Amino acid sequence: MTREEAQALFSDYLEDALNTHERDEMQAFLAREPECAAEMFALDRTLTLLHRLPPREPALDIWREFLPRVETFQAEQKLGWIKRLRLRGAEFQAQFSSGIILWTHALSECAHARLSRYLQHDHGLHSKAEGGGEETC
Amino acid sequence: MLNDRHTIWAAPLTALPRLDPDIALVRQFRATASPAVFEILFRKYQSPVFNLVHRMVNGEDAYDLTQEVFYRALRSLSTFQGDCKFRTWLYTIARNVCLNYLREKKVRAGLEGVSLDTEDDQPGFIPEPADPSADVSQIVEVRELQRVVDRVLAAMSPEQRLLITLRDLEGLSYEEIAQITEMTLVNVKSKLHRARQSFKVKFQPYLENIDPNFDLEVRAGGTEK
Repeated sequence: MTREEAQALFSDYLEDALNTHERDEMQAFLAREPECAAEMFALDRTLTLLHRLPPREPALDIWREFLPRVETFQAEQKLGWIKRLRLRGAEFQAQFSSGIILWTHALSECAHARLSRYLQHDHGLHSKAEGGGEETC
Repeated sequence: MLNDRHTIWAAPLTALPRLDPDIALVRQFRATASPAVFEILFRKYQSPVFNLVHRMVNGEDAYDLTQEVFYRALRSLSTFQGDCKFRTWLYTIARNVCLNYLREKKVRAGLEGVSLDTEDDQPGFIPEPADPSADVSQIVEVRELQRVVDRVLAAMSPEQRLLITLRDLEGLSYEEIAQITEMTLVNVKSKLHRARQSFKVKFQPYLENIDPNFDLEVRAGGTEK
């Protein structure tokens, strides 16, 4: 077993997913290669810490904030299909318009940034030329 | 005779597969449209979904995105066929919401001239955390370890972050992960292995600072603010 082959089997070894022959081979290899054994020990310790790490819990009551959205959804479900279609259309229109506004804003920002870069470059050239002119005088 | 009748009637009953309680709740919600039924599902899964979203987006907008996951689930509950676990289905939505968010964030940052390709462009670069106190020399509390883990995860690609979160932090099976990520089982295993190796390399400097007697179970606690 080479070092690369052993490294590829680390996860399986730690999850006890190797067959008896592979496990014995891996154990023999680790006994021969203390560097590799240390590497696997570090992976084992890292994974143990991750497995036992408590989950991130929300501190706020998300349901309370979410409930109005459920009510809106239910009210929408009660509408007739024509009204629902109109509502969807209005929603799409609103999102499309805000998307267009954001896009044009981003475009103008980009154009402004490019313009200021050109101006700086131009100004640099201009001052260089002026400096050169003074030297010749 | 009585015994025979009992065995005849008892056999099919015991052979019946137990209905997933979540699927029963989904059916109940479809039938009654009662918010109280959806609340049961919401409260059951809000913590794991929040945990996944928080790890994926490094805390930013985790509350809004968790709500977005449940809102999308609510809207498409009528299309849920029940051919996979409700949890798997919900996690698939969470994965899509998080990846879309990260993609949009990358596009926005690209417009502003900032690269987010930390994994590809600058290997070994770990972005600064939102909380500067994440720079810890000695990890003695769970909160510090949480920050460090978030910091290391933030330095990885979204796919690797997702795999590590689903397997090592949420404890999902390989089959569930394969369904959520739409990868083959072999692909999940090999990519997860690479993600773990990458995590280990980035976590190594911190690992040396962790007290060997550090006990997570005793020190566990603290909610996300």
